[in-house]
Amino acid sequence: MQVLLQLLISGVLLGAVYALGALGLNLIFGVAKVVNFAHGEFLMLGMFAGYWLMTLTGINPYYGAPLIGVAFFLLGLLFYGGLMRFTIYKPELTQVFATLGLGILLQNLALMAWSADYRTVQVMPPGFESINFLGVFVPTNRLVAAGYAAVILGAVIVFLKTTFTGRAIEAVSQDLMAARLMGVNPNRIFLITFGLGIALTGVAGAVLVPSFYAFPSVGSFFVLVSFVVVVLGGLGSVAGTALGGLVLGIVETGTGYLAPDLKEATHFVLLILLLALRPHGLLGVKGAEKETLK
Amino acid sequence: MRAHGYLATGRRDLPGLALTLLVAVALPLLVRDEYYANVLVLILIYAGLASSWNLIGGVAGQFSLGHSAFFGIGAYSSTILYNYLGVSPWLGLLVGGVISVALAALISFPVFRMRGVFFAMATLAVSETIRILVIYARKFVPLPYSISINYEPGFWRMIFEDRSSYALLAGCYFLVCAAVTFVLTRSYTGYYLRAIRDNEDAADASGIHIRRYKLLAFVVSAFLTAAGGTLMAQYILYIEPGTVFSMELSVDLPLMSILGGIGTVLGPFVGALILIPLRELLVEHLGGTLPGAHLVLYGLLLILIVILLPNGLLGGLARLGARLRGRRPAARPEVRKA
Amino acid sequence: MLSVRNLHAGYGDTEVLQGIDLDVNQGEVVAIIGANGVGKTTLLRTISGLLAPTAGSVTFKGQPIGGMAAHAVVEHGVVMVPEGRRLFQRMSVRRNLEVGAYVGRARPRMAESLREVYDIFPILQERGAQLAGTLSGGQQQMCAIGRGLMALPELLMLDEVSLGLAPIAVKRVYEAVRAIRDRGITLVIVEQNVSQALRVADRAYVIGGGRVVLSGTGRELSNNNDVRRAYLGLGLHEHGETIP
Repeated sequence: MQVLLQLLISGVLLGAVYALGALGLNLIFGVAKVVNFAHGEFLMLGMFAGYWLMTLTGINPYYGAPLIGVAFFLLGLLFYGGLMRFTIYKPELTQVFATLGLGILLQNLALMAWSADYRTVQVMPPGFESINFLGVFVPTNRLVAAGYAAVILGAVIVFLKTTFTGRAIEAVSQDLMAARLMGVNPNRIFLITFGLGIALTGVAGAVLVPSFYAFPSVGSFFVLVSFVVVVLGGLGSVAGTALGGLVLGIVETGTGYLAPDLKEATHFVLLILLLALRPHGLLGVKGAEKETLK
Repeated sequence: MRAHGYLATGRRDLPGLALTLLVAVALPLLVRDEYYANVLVLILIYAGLASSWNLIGGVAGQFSLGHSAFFGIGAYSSTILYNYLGVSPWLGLLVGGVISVALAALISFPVFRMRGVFFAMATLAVSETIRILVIYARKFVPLPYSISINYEPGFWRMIFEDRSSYALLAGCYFLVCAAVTFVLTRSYTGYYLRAIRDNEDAADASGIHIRRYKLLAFVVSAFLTAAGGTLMAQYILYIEPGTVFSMELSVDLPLMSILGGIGTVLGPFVGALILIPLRELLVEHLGGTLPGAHLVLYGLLLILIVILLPNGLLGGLARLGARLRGRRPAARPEVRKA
Repeated sequence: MLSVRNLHAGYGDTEVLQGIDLDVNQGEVVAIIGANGVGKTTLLRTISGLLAPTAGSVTFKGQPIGGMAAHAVVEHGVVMVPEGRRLFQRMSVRRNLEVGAYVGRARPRMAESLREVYDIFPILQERGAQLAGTLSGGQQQMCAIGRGLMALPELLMLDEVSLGLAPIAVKRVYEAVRAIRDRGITLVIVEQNVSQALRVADRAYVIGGGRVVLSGTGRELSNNNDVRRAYLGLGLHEHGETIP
């Protein structure tokens, strides 16, 4: 019973973190119908940003995350304006390869700049690395990260539902042509979406670096996880990302307990099964997986 | 173009045919220098591999990012059979091919339900899963992580003394792949595949049996890719999961096809011809000093190629040719704006 | 108000509009009718900015808008209600309407516009919280028209609003069309339901083969033999007998 509780809590915390990491990917996909194969690398950059922020200025990434968010928002604007803008109305493989290429580029730039060494930061004061809750071992870093995840997810949902720009973003994700007929400038929305999506990803990375090691190829692990979360939760649904993250976190923790070597494979198998049997995930709309930019 | 029996061919095909024969057969016999022969072997094997990918990715329009699965299966099948059971790689090639065909047929059920990026993601996932399973299998089967093949030249061992012989073998492999592509694209099957590629729903509505043709292209592609895996294993004489099931290979094959001209018969060859020497150069000059530098350029190359040359070099040449002849080049295929 | 001259437009290599000329005066209701596939929707899409013309001009209140991006056209006061409604399925009725007021000049008046729309379509207020995707065909059409109104159009273009609707729903929609006209908004109606369209229209154009083949007042065209035969399934001999 104790074991079950431990697994559940660990799973939920992990899941919240996964959901946060996948949010940017989901937003960009839902609105611009772009699968960002470089998503993992942006996450990696966020992690390094958090690392360098702490190492060079002493600012704790939990406090510095908003700053990193702003910086990554600008990066996202650059990402769209400098690259993705040229792939939006082209055949799909253009977008696949452009983001794939960017991912390879970023990963190896990081390798050249920072070497393959594993980095992490020590944020929690010694002795406070974990707390005991009902006999369950709870790492505090994961707890803070999960807290961030909850707050950010909530903020994004509020933004999308209440502001004109947020609603325009939702409108574009549901029907681009109708949105255009309402005076929505698609370019401007894509720009904002990419900015926001990358900003969220950067913040996710920064908030993760106290709990996970940062190294240039860490993106490859996270991008797969993010894909699974997004497909599991439902393409284009923010609440779905939260749910998908939680489910994956719990399933993975459970598998990790029973067959640790196969943990990695569970992601892939889950992804294949989902894509084959229920591509619209838990909360997505049927047919979302067939959508292209119309 | 007239239909000669089953195939639609014409005089326009002659230069391409001549070039292919020249490259596949004549060059290997002429090139003697060890260094250049090595590059030639790699070019020809990759040209064959890229052509195999092109069947499903270019002609049928189903963009697979998981072909290293078939490559790896081919490599592992023939190597295990040769090393532990003394079976000739020529037979091992067939075994690897058959297993790949079986895998392709099996995964076609879930994977063909998806289109575009999702198909790519799914094939990627399959390929990575297999890689992990192969590594995991070592818990149950006593296999070393990496397997080496003893260098013992012999025709039936598919191991040769000089690289020229390898080049000739690779050339024949490429010839077969190109021939299959040629026959497929010029036949009615190719016509249906292109219809499926251009507009699957319309093709479906026209009564074309989508699943059957996609499966055909996929299965043939799988077999040929596995064959290439066997060849490569017998050339390098060393395999491990990280290299034969690598994602880099899965990305290289479509890249070469795109660079040369996706969907064309010789496009993949042109792509391999450019990319392989380029990569060797990059690794030579940059790989040692700054780890990752050559891959940075590689990533940049990917981006530039796909944005600037969506129809590849052959496509670009075709447009240039049409323009020079005073004809308006056909409109670039682009997704219709809303 | 709206002037279309020698308009050519199409998709890829196919040219659909092959030289359209038409005018719409302020306060008018103009109907555009014609067989399926003849270019009526393409015409609206070109005027609204979804499609760029390959030749010819579109002028609105003296301003050239041909080739302008769709969102800019809306800002100039030309709003299209697209074929098939195209509501935001996963948003509520109310949210759909609110998004309709996205354009700069419509935003400050959103609350007022909403009240006016509810005036014309009381059912939308009733179903305000319901997901747009769950409404009936007729209600969805009303929501789509209401959404268009929220953008404060000076010229409202309706594309096949009666398509797929039961006759009673069509009747209600056209009652609303009259109400909109009475509020001073200029209307362009593309229709396959020719009788309703001609009844409400001041003038009408018949499109065939990418060009205007006939034009006149609503009444003139209703009585025109060719029109009656082609679109109304009726014909008149000189003595008033119907042609079988």
